[in-house]
This record gives sequence, structure tokens and C-alpha cells, in this order.
Amino acid sequence: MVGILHLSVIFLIQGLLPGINSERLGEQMYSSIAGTTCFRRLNATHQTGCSSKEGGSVGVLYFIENQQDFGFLLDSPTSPPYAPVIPPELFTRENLLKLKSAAKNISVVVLINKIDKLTNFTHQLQCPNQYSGLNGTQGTCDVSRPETVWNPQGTGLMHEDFPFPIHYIADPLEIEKIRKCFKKFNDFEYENHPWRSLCSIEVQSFMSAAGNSEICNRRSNFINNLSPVRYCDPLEGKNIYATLFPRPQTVERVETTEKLILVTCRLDSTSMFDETGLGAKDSLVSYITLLNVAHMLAKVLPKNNGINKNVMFVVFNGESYDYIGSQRFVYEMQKHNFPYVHTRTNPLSFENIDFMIDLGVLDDFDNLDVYTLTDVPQIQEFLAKLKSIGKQFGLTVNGKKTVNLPPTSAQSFLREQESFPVGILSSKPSNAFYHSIYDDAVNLMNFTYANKSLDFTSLMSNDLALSYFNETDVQMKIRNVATVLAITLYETLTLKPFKGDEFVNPILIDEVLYCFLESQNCPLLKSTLRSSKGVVLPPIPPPRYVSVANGLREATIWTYRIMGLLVSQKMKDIEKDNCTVPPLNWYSGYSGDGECRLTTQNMTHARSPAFDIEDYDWKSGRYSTWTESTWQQISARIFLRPSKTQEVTTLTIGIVVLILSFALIFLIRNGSDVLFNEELSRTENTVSEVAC
Amino acid sequence: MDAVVSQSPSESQNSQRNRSPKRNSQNYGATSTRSTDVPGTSTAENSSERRRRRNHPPTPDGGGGGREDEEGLKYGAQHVIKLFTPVSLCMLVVVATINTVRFYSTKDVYLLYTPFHEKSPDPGTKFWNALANSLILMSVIVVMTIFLIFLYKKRFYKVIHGWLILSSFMLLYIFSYLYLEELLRAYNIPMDYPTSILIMWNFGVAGMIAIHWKGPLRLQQAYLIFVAALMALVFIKYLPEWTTWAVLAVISIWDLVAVLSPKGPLRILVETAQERNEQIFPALIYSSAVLYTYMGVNLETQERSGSVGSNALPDNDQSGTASTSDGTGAEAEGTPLVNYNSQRHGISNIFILTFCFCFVFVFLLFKYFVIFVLFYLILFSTAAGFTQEWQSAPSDRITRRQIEVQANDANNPSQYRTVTTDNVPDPAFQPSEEERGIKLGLGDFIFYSVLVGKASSYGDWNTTIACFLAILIGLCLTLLLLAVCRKALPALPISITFGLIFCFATNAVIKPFTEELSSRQIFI
Amino acid sequence: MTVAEFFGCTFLVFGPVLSMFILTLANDPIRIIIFIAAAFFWLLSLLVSSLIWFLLSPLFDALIVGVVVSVICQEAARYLVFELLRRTETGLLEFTDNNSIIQNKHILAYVSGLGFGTSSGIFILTNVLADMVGPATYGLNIDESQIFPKNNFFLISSALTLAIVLLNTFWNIILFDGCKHSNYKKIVYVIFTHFFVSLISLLNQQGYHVITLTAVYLSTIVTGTITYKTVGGSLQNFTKFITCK
Repeated sequence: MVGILHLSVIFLIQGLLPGINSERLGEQMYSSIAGTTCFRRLNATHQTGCSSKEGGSVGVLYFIENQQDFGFLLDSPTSPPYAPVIPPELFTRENLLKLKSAAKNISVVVLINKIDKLTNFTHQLQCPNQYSGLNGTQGTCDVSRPETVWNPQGTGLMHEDFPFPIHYIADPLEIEKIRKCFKKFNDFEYENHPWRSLCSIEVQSFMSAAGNSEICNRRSNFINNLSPVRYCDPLEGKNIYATLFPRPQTVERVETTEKLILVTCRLDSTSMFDETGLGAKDSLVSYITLLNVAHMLAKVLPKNNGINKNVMFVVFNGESYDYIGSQRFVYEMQKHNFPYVHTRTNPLSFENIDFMIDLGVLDDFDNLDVYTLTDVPQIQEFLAKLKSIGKQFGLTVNGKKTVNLPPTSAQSFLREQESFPVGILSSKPSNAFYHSIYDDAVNLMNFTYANKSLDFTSLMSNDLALSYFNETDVQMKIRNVATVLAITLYETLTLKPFKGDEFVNPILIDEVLYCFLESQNCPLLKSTLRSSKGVVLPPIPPPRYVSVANGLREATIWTYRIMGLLVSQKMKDIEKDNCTVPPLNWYSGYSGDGECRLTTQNMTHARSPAFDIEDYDWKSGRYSTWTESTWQQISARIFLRPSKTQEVTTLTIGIVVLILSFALIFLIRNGSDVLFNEELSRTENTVSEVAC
Repeated sequence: MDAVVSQSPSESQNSQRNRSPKRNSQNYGATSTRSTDVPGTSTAENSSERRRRRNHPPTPDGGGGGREDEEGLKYGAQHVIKLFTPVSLCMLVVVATINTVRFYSTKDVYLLYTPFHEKSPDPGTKFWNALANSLILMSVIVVMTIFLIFLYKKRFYKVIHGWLILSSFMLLYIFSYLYLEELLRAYNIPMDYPTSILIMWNFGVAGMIAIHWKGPLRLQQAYLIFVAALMALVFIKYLPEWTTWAVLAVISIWDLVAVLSPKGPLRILVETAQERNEQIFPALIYSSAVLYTYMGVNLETQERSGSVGSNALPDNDQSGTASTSDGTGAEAEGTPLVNYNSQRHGISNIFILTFCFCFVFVFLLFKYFVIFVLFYLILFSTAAGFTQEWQSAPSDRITRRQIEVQANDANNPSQYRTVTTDNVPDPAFQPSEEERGIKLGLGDFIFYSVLVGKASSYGDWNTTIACFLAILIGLCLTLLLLAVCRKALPALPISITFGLIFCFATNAVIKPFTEELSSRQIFI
Repeated sequence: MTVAEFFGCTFLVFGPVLSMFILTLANDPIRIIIFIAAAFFWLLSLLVSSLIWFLLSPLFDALIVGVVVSVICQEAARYLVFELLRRTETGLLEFTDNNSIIQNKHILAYVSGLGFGTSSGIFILTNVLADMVGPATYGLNIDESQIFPKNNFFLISSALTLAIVLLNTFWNIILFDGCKHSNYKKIVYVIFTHFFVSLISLLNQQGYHVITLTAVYLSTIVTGTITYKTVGGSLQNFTKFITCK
């Protein structure tokens, strides 16, 4: 009992007196730097990204202001290793490769946030997903022929392997902190660097995977140890799909002659650094377009009276990494495993698909192209309608039959079946920040949140829309594209001209953009919750990188919920308590009062089949093989690195004192008789004679 | 519990021992004289007399009286240091591991015995969780102890030994393998399987031999220390934060009860062992003197040991001249069959032979396989991997924790053991030759190390060192009490109480003060 | 990596302690036990003084009070050790073969003093030493004028700690002698120098390291000389020792 008593007393003391928190010396020696870093991904043949040394890489801070400053690092570094701090306009392929070749003098690269001189910043390849599209065909995207590339300004740095960590610091305060430290300790008398203590940065981002996905997958799955460790995880997420009309529920799974129109886009974006990259232009625009098309159709076609076709909206995940989501979708369709058994609907195959419209990038909202690989009558028909309706909304739409197709999900379908009826709606790529940290609201035609606080779940007439937004606002541009697409689909389904005067609501577009570019704590996302009272969501945009399988990512969950709210039909007279079993779902809705809706949305795996096929041939290139390395921690801190002189001085003093004291004590002990005038008997253990 | 000090034998033991002519000269005077002796009488003259006496065979009667007792104290100091060293080493291993191998200080999975995971942020709930966990763990220990006592009373030695061997086997293989793996991972060192299996096999086999059969003293001690350190690490890793502290407190209370109360299980165990004139499971006791058991007699070894034993037979004169100043005498004791520690023999032939034999075996792949399969069968046939080990371990722990201060062999402290197999009444269990020296159960090692390791996991060295000092002082006090009381004493309560007080006090009070001082460069 | 600094400072502070321990203590178990016990007593005094500081510090910046209290506590603990050893002196004999420990009282004083000093050195410096192992050195947030070689935090801390360790050993010998022969001059001297050394180290915060170092090492030399006299040394003996005769 005594033990427990004093335990509890101590706990009490600790609880009551939060006490004096004096700072330990170690904490005064370091100052942590907030930021994020580039990490390692692997595919079947290579590793890309970066990793620090185990235990952290240390480099002396060196601010680079202009191109000439690289000279010091590359030619005559006086106290290597250095950590160049690079503004984004100098973060070019040439400079980075130069640093890579001088890697023994460079231990860390710091990228700081500085937008002013920036014209382009995209580290994706010029031909994204080049080897997982239509393979072997002449005329596809080829770096050597600039007219065929889809990301002409791409540097491809995301697909380089760096021997040093690259740390990105976005916060201006943090940048100021390291600049101050640099000015105070480093930025003078460079030739004296070896003899001075210098301000340095340590970045810890050690990646445990190495080599390629095959090696790392083998290591992770090897059942050999008592505490299994994963070295890398496959990139994976969930695809979200919803149908315009509910599909018939059946118990026995038989193939049907049901016809569907697929409308697809991608959910994910990516960038070189962890948890950054909003992908505003590269994927968010087409995603929002798809949501609005679906919403408008659900509004104008509440029932499938006399319509023998259905529309399925699919949002693919992981498309930035060799079309993970769509590859899996196709794979499961071929295995007659889509939709899954638990949905109690009939499996679908390619034959059930009437045609597919894939939304690519919409960098130029006014001039769109529909790319096709082969002549497909359905697509031609669709294109003709699109052209004529587009004219009413000021859109120019052209058909393009080519093998050089944009890098979108459609490639996964065409790869399996070249005659697959698909049209890719895309514009000429002009995004200078494709897949980068700067593809944000500013890049998206300077999007500003209008915050009109109006009901976004209804449609809106043209005049009303123009009273809220200018014709040139991004909200209106997206509205136009979405409306044109929705009307075309309407006419394709009903075979009747569209008579309504209410179109896609730009308020909804405004809301979605706000949620995905600025803050999750937005009216739209709250209205998708079961109950929104008092809920405060994180005030940051949801990360849209596909990531790995540890729970659902925010972007996936929100897509699922938004689809449920927007692509569904309201069921009257059903109470909240009775509205729990899917497909019935309860949403708090715009007003927050709540409503029961009959939903159709669902999820499927977006995980490359390569990880599920037994004995998959990794080198075959058939499926995406991207994995992400695991890591312990990512952190950075600055501190003063002692000079060699200081270290050597201290060590020498220590060793001299050690040796001296041993000698001295030995002498004193042995001479203690003489020294202390002792005439005492000695112990057996000590030597009694006088030394010397 | 734990620490039982086995006291000097009772009358009956003496008479029992008198049967053997060699032994009747032994004197089991226990330790302290402080209470009986008038301090003034112990003069230099006295001590010189004592020294002289050592060179002569003492009188056979047990009434050597106070003077011989005094001698016990003299060696007491040596033995205290001899305990300090391994305890410190064990703590060192644990602290070093905690500070370098992250695995052991991160909490993720817990044992089956601790169903409450202290997830709640509320300290009150955490406290009750911790208390409940520690009580569950303790009741398991209590049940196991009683079971063990039952086995022992009924003389089911084979069962006990099987149990002990199995658990040390698990410790030596599974936990060591885990340790090796985490060590390699912490330093990011790649190692191929053949090499690691080779290492594990040799390490494990050598350990089993050293612990259960025979081997050089240093080797055996090293293994026991390492095993205790491993066990402590496992405790630190797999017990929830507050539970660890609660377990330490609860265990020391149990220790007190089990050893001191008249019906305490450990007391019963010790008394039974003394009645039977046996050692208590040697695999589980760290002795400052040598400990060998004789397990599973087989012809060859018997033969060999017989011959070596006779070779090793020293005469009294020789042994009498051995230096007593640094405790070599104590080390040389206690070998039942062969004296491995005598300078002449170094490592015995048998040992080398066995060792080589194992080495050769390693290269037979078939054997590898068998061992491997066995290992996995044991591991995975149980629900949670550790279960099996854990069922046996707590009870082992109990039996391990014994301090025995044996009577000082007034006769001839540095006498080499020369017992031959003839003297073995029970082939499965070598009757104890009393060793002079203090015995500390491995359980004490484990819990001391848990305390220090846990303290060091907070990253403050002052706390760690304060804990360490407090435990050593607690141990000192226990030993002092031992000398006064002359009976088995629990080794945990004083040390752990001191340790806990200083751990929390340092963390809460001293740490801020010293940090303030050192960052302002003020010296007190 | 400044493992170099770590080893440098560790050797500087604990080198002398280690050499004394190995060469004069390690052979005798009883000395080790006394050494540890003395260290523990120092820890007790630290506990008491930091407890007082802890209770006062929410009220005001009580560091100076803490220092004063801790000096008093340490001296009290020193006296406690003296009393304890005096009373158990006869009992101690039974623990050892080694008569010299009793016959030469200074050995006991020296051993416990070393325990005191080591303990104080460890508690003051170990965390600082542990912080050295990282890649950094001290000085991120201080003035430029304070940076090495103008000022080296670690080296100064270590040098001062070494002085404290030595001083504690000397003080113990002097105080024990003073207590035994009721020589109040010695007792007062010990307490006075302890206060002097502790209080002068307050100047370190202001950056007067040179003054502190000089003062502390001067006191160490003076105290050392007095200790030498106390244990029976003289200039004569010293000369004899130096000349190897």
C-alpha cells in the first residue's frame, strides 16, 4: 500500500503543480523549422524522390539569390557539406542536377516559398504516365517531339532520385528565421568558414525503402520476424462512383444488356512534397465539372421514365501514378467483379458501356477538344450535340482523332481494347504549375471565394447567375462547360431537346472550389454530414494525394458524401431514424434541417492489380507498381554547427586532462608515504614503495 | 518476494550435513555480528587473528561464535560489490537499449495481461486502469507461484525443470532474436539469414548449457544478466505507461508478503529447500558465487566429470593459501563436479567438446530446420505469441528472486569443491553445496532494470542516475538488514520504494532546478 | 557531429574522477560502498534544496535562494556523513580487511568527498553532456560576441564542474578534520569558500566567465593546499616527492 500511496501522492503533485518548466539546454541549442519534405516513391524499376541520411542530414545554410551563387557551392565550397536555400525560380532541372552531381558537398536542399518571379514550376514529366498508356504505338507522347507532349514545361524532377533531402518551407516566418541565422553566422568571410561555427540545418526524412517496389514488397511481406515491419506501401485509395438512376437490385448476379454512359474524371493530384499540392487546375476543375454535371442531371431527370440508358459517374483515384484507379476498375470489370457482390447489383462489363466521356484538363475553358482513338458512332453523335449546344454558351468544341491522347483515365480502357468507345474532353494543356505546390487558387484564374450564402443545391437561371458572377469568373467558366455537358447528356438520354432555363449553379461551383482550395470548414461539406450542428471541420483544404492504405483520405470521404448529397433523390416522409440503411442516407443539407435521400454512390478499390496478382511479373509494365516508402519522422531544425577547431580543442583538452590525471594520481598514490608523511602500514593491494 | 535470503541452515541441516565427513567441518554462522559484538572488541588484533585462523582448519563445532560471524561481514562487503556490478551492468544494458533502440520505448501492442490500455486522457481513469492491470498481472504471478510451490512440495522436479528449460529456451531464442532484430534495425545494418541463424543458434545453445548445465562462471553470469535485461526490456515495451509503475509498486508489496509472512509462498519455498538441503532453481538465481546444477545425468559426462573432478581435487593447503582479498575464493566455490575456475583448467574439456559439437551441428541444415520449426510451432500455437512464455515466466520470476546469504564457510573460505558424483543423492538435482555469498533472484534484476529503464525513457539523465543510486542504496540497506535479521528478506521493497520516490521526485523537482542551474552555468 | 566535444568534456570532468576511482577506490569494496553512500547523501541534499526552490519559485525568481539553500544543505549533508562514519567507524572495521581505512581517517574523508563531488558533477553536467552528442553546439540564440573562441559554453561548464568536484573532495577532508578536532577555523573556511564559489558562479549569466574561472580555480588551489597541509603534507615533503627522494 505504501507504494500505491506514494505513487498517488506523486501523481497528485504532478497534476496540481504543472510546475516550472525550465528549458533544457538542448532545447536552446536547436530551433525547429516547420515545413515538408520530398519523400521516396518506388516503381518496378526505380526509386524516385529523396531521403536523408539515417539520423538526419546536416548542411551549412547558404542562401542562393541568383544563378551565380551556385558557383560557390559547385566550385569552391569552403566548409562542406552545404545546404543551399533555393528560391523556386532557381529550382530548375539544370540546377538540381548540378547539385546532384556535386552531392558530396551538398547534404540538404531547402526550397523556400517565393512566388514573385515565378513563371512555371512543374516537376511532372513532360509525358505524364508515358509507359502506362497506349503502348508501342507510334505518335503517342514523345519527349523528343515537343508538339506531342502534354506538360511542355515539365522538368521531371519528381521522377529523379536525389541523394539529399529536399525540404520545402512555406511559412514566411520560418524563412525569415533561417535567413536571420544565415546572416548572423554564415554570410561573411566565406574563406573563414572552416574555422567558424556555422548556422546549419538538419533534415530528418530517412526513407526505409530502397531499390524498387519489387525488392521492397518482398522485404515487407517476408514473414520472418516477430515484429513485422513495412518498408513501403502500395499507393492506393478508393474510386467513387454513382449512377444517375438506381440500378436494379438483384440477388443472382447475371450479366445484363443494361447500357450505361460512363462520365469519368480523376480525384487525385500530386506534388513533389508531402501533404502539399492542391491540384486546382490539373484535376480539381474536371472534378467539379463532373460533380455539377451529375447534380444537374439528377435535378432535371429525377426518374428514368422511358429512358433505357443510365449514366455512371466515376471519380478515379491514383491516376497521377500510372492510372491506378482506372486500371483497377478495368481489371475488376474484366473479372466480372464490378460492382462488388455486396451492392447486390449485376456485374458490368465493357459490353454494358454505351460510351465513355473522360474529362481531362480544362486549362482553356472556351476551346475544348474531344479526343478519340477510333471512329465511334456514339461519340460522333455526342460530339455533334456538344458542338451545337456549346455554341449557345460560347464554347468551341472540336473533334480530334489521334493516337496522341491526353494522359487521362481513358488510356486504361483503350489499352485493354483499342476500339473502346471513349471520348476525352480536354483542352490544350497550358498549366505552368501542373502537379506542383503552386497549382492553387491563384493559378486557377485567381479564384476568390464569393461566399454568397445561397442554396447551392438548386439550379440557377442564366440571368441570376450573371447577377452574382462576371462572365469571366472561373465559376462561370466551369458552369458553362458543366452545363453544356449536362444538356448534351440529357439530350442523348432522352433523345429530346432540353427545354429548361435553369442550369448548373455557379454558387455550387464556388462552394466546392472553396472547400477544396481553402478550407474543409465550408457550408457544402457540412451539409453532407448527417448532422452539422456545432461541427467544426479542419480549416485546411483536404489533401488530394492518393496516399497509402491507412484509413480513408479526406478527399475520398468528402467525394463520397458530396455525391450522396448531389446525385440522389430526396425521399419525402421518411424520418431520420428510419433513414439509416443504404441506399437511404440522411444528410443535413443546405438548411441544416436534414433530409432523407435515396443515394446511388459507392466505392471500389483503387489499388493496382499488380499487388493482388500472385506472382505478378514486376517488369512487365502492365500495371502500376508505385509504392511509397515508409519513414519514421520528418523534421527539420537549425542550430550552430561547431567548427573543427572547436571540436579538436575540446577533445584535446579532455584527453590531456585524462592522461595527466591518471599519471598524477598514480604518482601521488605511490608516493603518498613521502607526500603525506605517512608512516602507516600499507594495504596489501597498494604498492608501498615509493615510485619514481 | 523476491529476495529471499536463505539464511544459515538450521540445526537439522547441520546434522544432516554431518553425515558427510567433508562437510561436518563447515560452519554455517550467518552474517552480522553487529548486534552481538561489542564494537570495541574488534580490534586490529582481532582481525589478524581472524586472518590467521583462515589458514587452519577450524574446529568442527558450529559454535565458532561471533568471530566467524564477523568474517561474514568482511566478505559481505565484497559480495555487495559483486552484486552491484551485475545489477549495474544489467541496468546499463537496459538503459543503453532504451536510449538507442526506439522499438523498446514506443508503445503499440500490449500483453494479454493488461487489458486496460490507458487510452483515456483522464488521470483518474488511467490510475484505475493501471491498478487493475497490475492486480491482474500480480494475481497471475500469485497463482503461478502457488502452482510452483505445489510442484516443488510434491517433488515434481522434472516438471519444474522442463518448465524452466522451456522458458529459458524461449527467452534465449525468441527474445534474443527480437533484440537482435531490433538492434540491427535501429542501426540499419543488413544481415543475412544464415549469419543470424548461426549467431542465434550458437548464442542460444551456449546459453542453455551455461545456465542449466555448466560453463565458465563469467559466461553464466553474463547470460543471466542478459536474460534479465531482455526480460526487463520486454516489460518496458509491453506494459502501458502507468501500469509499469503500478506493477513495480504492487510487486514490491507482494514481495514483502510472500517472503515475510509465515505462510508466504516464497518463504515456504525457501524453507522447504533448506529442509531438503537443496538449491533453489539455479537457472533463476544470480549468485555472486558459482552455481552449477547437475541436470540429466548422462553416462559420458558423468564419467568425464568424475575424472576431471578427481584431477581437480586440491589439497587444503593449496586452497588455504589462495588470496582472499579480491574474492577469488568465493568464485572458486560451488562447482559440484568440476572446478572450472581453477587456473589449471580454464574452460573444461567437456565444455569445449560440447561447444564444438554444437558448432558442427549448426552446419547440418536439417537441424536448423527442426529447430526453426519448433520455434515457430511454439510461437504460433499460442494465441498471442508471448502467451506461453508469459505463463511460465511470471512464476519463474518469483522463484528467481532469491537472495541467499549463505553462512560463511568459516572452515576454509577458499576451499575448492571436490565433491564427486558419489555424493549426489538425487541424480536429477544436485544437492546444494552451500556457497558463501549473496544470491539475488533474477526477478530483482529485472524489476530494478525496469525501474531504471523506464526512468531513462523520459530522456532525463538525472532521473536515471538518481534512480540508480537510490536502488543501490536500497540494496545496501537490504543487505544490511539481512546481516541483522539473518533470514530471507525481500530485495524489492526498499530498493523499489527508494527508486520510485527518487524517480518521481527527480523528475518533478530536481530536474527543473538542475536544468535552470546548468543553463545559467551556476554551480552549487 | 560533436561527439568530439562530448568526449572532450567528459574526459575533462570525469577523467580525474575516474583516475582517482580506479587507482584508489576500486580495489576496496568498502570504499566503493562509502563512495556510493556519499553520492546518495549529496543527492538527498539536492533533493531538499530543490524542493525548497520548487516551492518558492512560483512566488519569485528564487534561484539565488536555491543556491544558498543548497550550499547549506550540502554542508549539512557533509556533516551528516561525518557523523555517520564516526559512529559506524568501529563497525566498519568488520567489513574490511583493510585497516588503513580506519587508521588513516583522511581516507574515509577523501572517499566520501569524492563521492560527494562526483555526484554533484554528474547531476550538474550529465544532461549538458547528453545534449552535446547531437550535431549542434551552444550559441544559436546568443550574441555574436559570445561565440567560440570568445566563449565556449561547454568547455567553461566542464572546467567549472571539474573544479567543483575537486573542491568537494578537498572540503570534505578539511571539514572532517575540522569536525574531528573541533577546529572551527577550518569549518568556517569550508562553508565560506563553498558560498563564495557558488555565488560567484552567478556571474556567469552576465558573461563574466573569466572572473568566475579565475576565482574558482584560485579557490581550488588554495583549498587544495590547505587540504595538503591537513593530511600531513608539508613543503618539505613536497620537495622530497618532487625530487624523488
